[in-house]
Amino acid sequence: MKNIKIIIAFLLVTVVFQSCNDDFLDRKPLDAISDVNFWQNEEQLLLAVNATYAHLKGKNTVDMENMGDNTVWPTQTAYRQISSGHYNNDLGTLNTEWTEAYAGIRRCNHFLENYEKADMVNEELKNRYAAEVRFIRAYLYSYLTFLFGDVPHITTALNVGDEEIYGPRDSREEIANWILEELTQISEDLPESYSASDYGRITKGAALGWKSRVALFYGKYDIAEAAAKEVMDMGVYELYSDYYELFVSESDASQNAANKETMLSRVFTTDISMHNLSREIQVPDQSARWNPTKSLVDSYLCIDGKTIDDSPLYNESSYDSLFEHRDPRMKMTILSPGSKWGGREDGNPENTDKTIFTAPKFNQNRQGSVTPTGYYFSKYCDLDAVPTYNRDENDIIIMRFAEILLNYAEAKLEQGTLTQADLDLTINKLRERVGMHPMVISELATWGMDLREEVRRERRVELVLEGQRYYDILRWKRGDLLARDVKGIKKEFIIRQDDVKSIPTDEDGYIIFLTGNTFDESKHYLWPIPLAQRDLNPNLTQNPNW
Amino acid sequence: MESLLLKKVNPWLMKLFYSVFLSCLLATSLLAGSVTGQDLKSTVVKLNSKYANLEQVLQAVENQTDFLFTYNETIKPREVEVVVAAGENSLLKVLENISRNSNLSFKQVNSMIAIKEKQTPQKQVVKQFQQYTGTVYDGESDEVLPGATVQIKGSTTGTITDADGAFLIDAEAGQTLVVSFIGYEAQEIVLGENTTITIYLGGDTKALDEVVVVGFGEQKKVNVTGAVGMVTSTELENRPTTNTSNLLQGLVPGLVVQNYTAMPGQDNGSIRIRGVSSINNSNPLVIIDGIEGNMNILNPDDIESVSVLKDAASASVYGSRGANGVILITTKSGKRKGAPQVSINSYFGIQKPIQLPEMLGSVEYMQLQNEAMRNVGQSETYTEEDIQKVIDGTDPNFSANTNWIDEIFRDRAPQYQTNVSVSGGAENLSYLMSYGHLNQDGMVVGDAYSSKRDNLRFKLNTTILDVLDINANLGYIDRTYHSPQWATDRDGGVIRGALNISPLVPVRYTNGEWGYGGGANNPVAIATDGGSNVFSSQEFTANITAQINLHKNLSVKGQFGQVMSNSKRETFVKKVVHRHPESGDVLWFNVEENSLEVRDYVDRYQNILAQMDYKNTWGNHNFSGLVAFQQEWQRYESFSGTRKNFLSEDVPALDLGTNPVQSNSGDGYHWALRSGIARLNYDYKGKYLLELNGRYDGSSRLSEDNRYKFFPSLSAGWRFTDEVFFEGLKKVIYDGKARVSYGELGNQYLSNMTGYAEYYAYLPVLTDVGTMPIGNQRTNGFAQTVSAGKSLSWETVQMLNVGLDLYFFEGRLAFTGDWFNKQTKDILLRVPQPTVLGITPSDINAGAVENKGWEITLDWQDQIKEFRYGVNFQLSDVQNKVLDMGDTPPAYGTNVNLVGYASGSYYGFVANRLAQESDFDMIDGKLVPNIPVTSSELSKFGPGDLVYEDLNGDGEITAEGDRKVLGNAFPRYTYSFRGNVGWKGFDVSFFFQGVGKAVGYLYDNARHAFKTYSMYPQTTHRDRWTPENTDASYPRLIFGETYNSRVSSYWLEDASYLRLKNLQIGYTLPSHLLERLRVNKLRVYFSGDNLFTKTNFYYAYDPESPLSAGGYYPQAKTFIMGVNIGLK
Repeated sequence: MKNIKIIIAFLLVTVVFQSCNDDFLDRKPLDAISDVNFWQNEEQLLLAVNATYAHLKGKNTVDMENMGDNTVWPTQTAYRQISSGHYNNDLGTLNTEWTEAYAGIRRCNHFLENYEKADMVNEELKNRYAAEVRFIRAYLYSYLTFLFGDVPHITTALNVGDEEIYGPRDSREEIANWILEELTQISEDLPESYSASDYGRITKGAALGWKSRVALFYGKYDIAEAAAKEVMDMGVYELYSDYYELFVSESDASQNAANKETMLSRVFTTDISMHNLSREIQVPDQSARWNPTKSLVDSYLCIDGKTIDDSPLYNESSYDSLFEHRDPRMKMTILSPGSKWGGREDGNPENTDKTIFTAPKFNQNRQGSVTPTGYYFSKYCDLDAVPTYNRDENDIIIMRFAEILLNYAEAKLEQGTLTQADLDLTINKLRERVGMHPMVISELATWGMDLREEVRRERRVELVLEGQRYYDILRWKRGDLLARDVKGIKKEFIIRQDDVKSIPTDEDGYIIFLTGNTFDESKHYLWPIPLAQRDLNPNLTQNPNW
Repeated sequence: MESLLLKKVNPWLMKLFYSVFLSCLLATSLLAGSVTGQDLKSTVVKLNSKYANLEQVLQAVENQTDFLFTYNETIKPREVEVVVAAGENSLLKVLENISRNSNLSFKQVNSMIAIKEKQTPQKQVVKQFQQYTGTVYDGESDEVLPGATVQIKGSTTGTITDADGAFLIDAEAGQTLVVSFIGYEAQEIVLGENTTITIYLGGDTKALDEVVVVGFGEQKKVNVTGAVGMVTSTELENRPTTNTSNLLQGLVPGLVVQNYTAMPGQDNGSIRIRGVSSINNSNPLVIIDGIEGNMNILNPDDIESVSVLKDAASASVYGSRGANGVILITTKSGKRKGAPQVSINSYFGIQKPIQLPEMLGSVEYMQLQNEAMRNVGQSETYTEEDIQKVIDGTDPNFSANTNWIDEIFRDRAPQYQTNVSVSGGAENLSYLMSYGHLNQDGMVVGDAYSSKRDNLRFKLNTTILDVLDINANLGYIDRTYHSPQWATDRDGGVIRGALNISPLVPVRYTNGEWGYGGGANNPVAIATDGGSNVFSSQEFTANITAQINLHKNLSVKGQFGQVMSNSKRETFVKKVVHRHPESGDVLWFNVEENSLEVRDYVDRYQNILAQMDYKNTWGNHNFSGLVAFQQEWQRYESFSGTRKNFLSEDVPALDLGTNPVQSNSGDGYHWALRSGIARLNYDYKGKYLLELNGRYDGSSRLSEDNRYKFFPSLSAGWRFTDEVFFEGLKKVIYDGKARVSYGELGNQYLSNMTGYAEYYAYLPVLTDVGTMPIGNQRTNGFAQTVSAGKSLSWETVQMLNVGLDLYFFEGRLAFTGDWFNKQTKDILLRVPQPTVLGITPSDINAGAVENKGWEITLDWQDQIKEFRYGVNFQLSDVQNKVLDMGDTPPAYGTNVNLVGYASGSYYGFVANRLAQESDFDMIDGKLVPNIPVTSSELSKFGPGDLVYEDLNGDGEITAEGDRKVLGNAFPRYTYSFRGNVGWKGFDVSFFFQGVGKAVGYLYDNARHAFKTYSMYPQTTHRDRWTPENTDASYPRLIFGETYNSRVSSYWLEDASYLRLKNLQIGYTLPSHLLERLRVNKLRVYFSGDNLFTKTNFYYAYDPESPLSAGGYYPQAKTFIMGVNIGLK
């Protein structure tokens, strides 16, 4: 009996200890690759490069237009708060922008710290990978410095415990110089173009083009001019034939080789990556989210090249007449009566064809797109993508050749070297494409028009909805533009007057949609350092007067 | 002739023999239910002569029967003359006769009959003897109790009840009968004229012999030195609560359950034992029959007992897993040598939402919307004509008047459950089989929510080769939860959807098509036609234990357990097309193409344990102890595939999706723990108690250098009522024990991270991340998203516990009190880092949290004849305080962890009033506030807006300077009050549960209107500020502005409450009526949960879901009718 007991007890113990082995507690990840085993070959490097592209701004590029004076969102949003000057350092968007930028920078730094470990035969390719990543890092630092001024300049992959996490802000000027230097260096390593299967990657043109934008922002006009010129001389880029079509998906450079204008875009692809811009522009049963302001509409010249105040062609007798005899880009940007649209029921009860827009709608009966200003956009609106949510596959353009031409013209202007020849090489190419009266320096003088104002106007109407307006206002120090009331059409143009009885108007009868906007010149040219970041890192100083 | 030998033995030996023999008898009678009381009556002896001496009679009886007589030397049978009836007679009669006519008494003990001298041998007393008959019943079940001991107090005369619970005893009036049975409280009855007695034995209220399940073993309650709460199956029975978490609410002081939803299948509350000790995971460890398990899918009917290990000493044998307390669940088993017992419990009932928001109708909504627009200087949204259309009802398609809350909820939803179990045993075997079926429908239209669960359990215990005890415990759970494809959480889903949609939208257009809200999905359409999210899971538990008793003092046990589950989630998103009621044009569809995602999860947890138990006694020194070795490991893997464009929405099979773009994904994690466990118990005379525990743990979640840690504990107890000096006080305090314990526990849980990085937090890893499609193709990218915590180590909890157990009135009144101080150090915390870090920070060991509190329980149980009653009151409090945050600045949000305050405290502005016109000066025709306001709102601020207090007095309201801690979400002063009354077949019990102090915060749609187009007014918004209604409860309505709804004291709600958690009324039919049907129990009952709630919380939501934006599936009241049937 005793033997049985002992045998059984022995068996029990044996069974238990059978699974004992030394590596029992070593459990390696089942769905991740250890940093130690990564960075070994070309394929792994490519995957790490690809990951950094997630930080190119997509639709957010366009969303930032809301901070300017071209468009107004119908409800209170963070960007509208910034635009109207009613915001504080606790606004969530400020912190998001900061956080997202540094997330991308960390990803780039991580790559740049490790990529040289890889065993790669093709040194050129290795350098190209690094250049792509360095571009994205420079791109992210550009936005950070544009918005916040001085920011911590971090070029290593940080980890919890690193002292640099609690470091102070570095000078905007130094970071700007570093960005320009980085862009100069990498432009050597980047190809002028890629095969279709690699479309979307950073090219030499993108690096130089971005350099011209950054240089322009910081008033380094000589650098801006040189960089723009370098792009123009590459011979790779040319303007696309149709301004309107450039912003619909059929002409996306990722799909259409005829588009040689787009230099850098955030690519969107059916079912894989999509956004909601087109629907937001003409959402059929609610308020359109993108509403052109009177300020934008009025900035379009008449077809004769004169302002609406001066041109005899300007006729403000009806809603329809506003669109006549104007810079052709206006109808390609602002929805004009008679155009096809996706907004369904419009403001004209007589209109039975819901696919054609005839009059702006103010009645919120959820049967058609409502506008608080009386205007809608047509630029960037793919009508196919309007009926459903988040089904827009249109690429978002981050940079195109037209901007380079504008950068060049402006850089030369600011250096006092802008000639008619320069204008013909740049702005007049843009005007020529749409059939607009050219900009002639001598003519402007006769008409009493200011050249700088016109160059800036050209930039505004050409690049509207491309996310540049707010940055242009910042660098031109024209914050006063944001302090104005946001207005719309003349109230009398509205067909169903019942709907707008309570809408206030100015002395000339124009709808006032927003009033009370402010812009404090002493502080609003910079965003405040986000409260959350200063809570976490007391070494971060605040911007003036915030 | 053994009996004659016995008498020559030393009387001392006899005594010893007696006591051992008696206890064996009690044991056997308990186990087998065998009764020999009847034998005396039925045994017939034949005596020849009427006159004889006693020795002759005894010899005759011993020859004819199996009975043997024992007596001591003072009795000389040969010298006792007796007169007996000649011929055949029952032995009982014979002995009774002898006793009546002599000074001797007989006592039968099994096959022994002891002969003793009567203590008062006066003749006249003898004459007053009469025969009393009686029956002994179980006071609770009304079943007869065979084998109960019936004894005359102060004498050795006694008997045992027979199979019918009946007894017969000779006694004189004025004597006292003591009726006792193991597990019951002994009862004393003073005998009188009435010779037929009915006795109901109640549960042993002293509970002194109660056995408590503790970690890796059991202990007598009197010997427990830690803080252990115990719940027995009777406290869990017949509640319409589908999961054990919610059942435990209010049953154990210090265990706080917060239940915020009644969503079928997903309604388990969160459990906290003694507060929030860790930031990441404060869930207690749940052990079911020795292995980790999920108590929320267990059939509550299978539970025999629940032990809650609250202090470090009790939990330290669970080491690194015990920091949040341990809940030990033991399931029911069969009894050896028991006849098969069938038990059927079944109920049917209905659930109703406890409270719902009341939304305003279209006309009021439109008027208030216009007011909200006017107040921000914008044009009115609706014209008089628009409003008139609603009033006239002329435009039912676009100017309807829909109450979406009414439309999305049903009046009632059915719920039913049936449990059947069969248990019993034989000589070397016991078994239990149980089956339970639960069906709970949802309170939302369209069969959108429902839950089904089937539980099977099979338990077998057998002894093989005479020495090896084998226990097999197999469980199988099959469950399915349905919910709409639009996932329900606090911010989304069809319930939130009902708050997001305009009352102007009809549920259906006049042509029968679904109404469309413009920017808001029609929640009724989605709930009805939008597809479903079906989660189904099959879980198999196998738990095999083998135990061998090597020596009477030493046993060895091996256990292997595993829990395997295979789960699947099918999300079928159907396309709901909304068409224009007149033109038939497509207005909107929720998705471009319908889609099906099937996700498959496989989870396998395994556990292996070797344990050695030893106990011994040297004189008054009692030792016991155990050593054990344990390994646990778990592996989880999931796989998912998605397809789109299904031509038919009837068959959700991936193969039928026709869109060529298909996607799939998969992930997984695993972990392991290796532990050594030891315990030593010592007591001296059961008076001084000492326990030492320790566990040495190694975890795969930590790097090799920090992997192992030892967690010790010590506890001691003193049963001071056993002291000599206490004798005099024994009448007041029946039993008393003071306890103290101190120990250390660990925690290895890290905060959730991207993927499953928390399982390998010490390793820097790269994972697949989404990125831009390069070359118009889906593009893969790999990147590090989480920082590695190379030096991560254990979080340690140190807890001191002081307790006192007191029993008064012979144990009928019990008091238990505990005080504890729990300090959590080196907390594993994701310390917010400046985001220049660029990746999610890993946790670090930072900071310390303290939980201090106390718990008291008062329990009174008594029985007066057939009237049984009891009350139980519990009260506990825990105060949480963050002591240290590792020198890192806090991350301020709605909730904040701030040194000196409770963790997760609400943080915000202080606002007590609305601005009035007197708070403004008229300057240049504009109202300019003369009180501090936020600079960015200076031009907007107007009368009727919320006034934030300028806490730092700088004349301006800023987020930096004017926010403070406003309150703590964790409930304080949790209490419960239970009572039960029984009389004959009737029983009534009630259970109140409540929270004395708590704070809730409702935001967005739950509380506000007009912040966006999708926030609609409730009836409470009628009382908004207007120039005519300046004494309003809600600020003026301002469209699109959020500055009045910032986190502030104004919006914090008092979440204290008192709730009638359960009320139960039952009637048990007398068993004699049912005997012929083989039914030994039939009880019918009504039971209701959450019947009544008293609270000052916001009317529309439940105080138990204190942080809500309005999307939660509501809490329910449940009414059921049920039946309990026992068959033999």
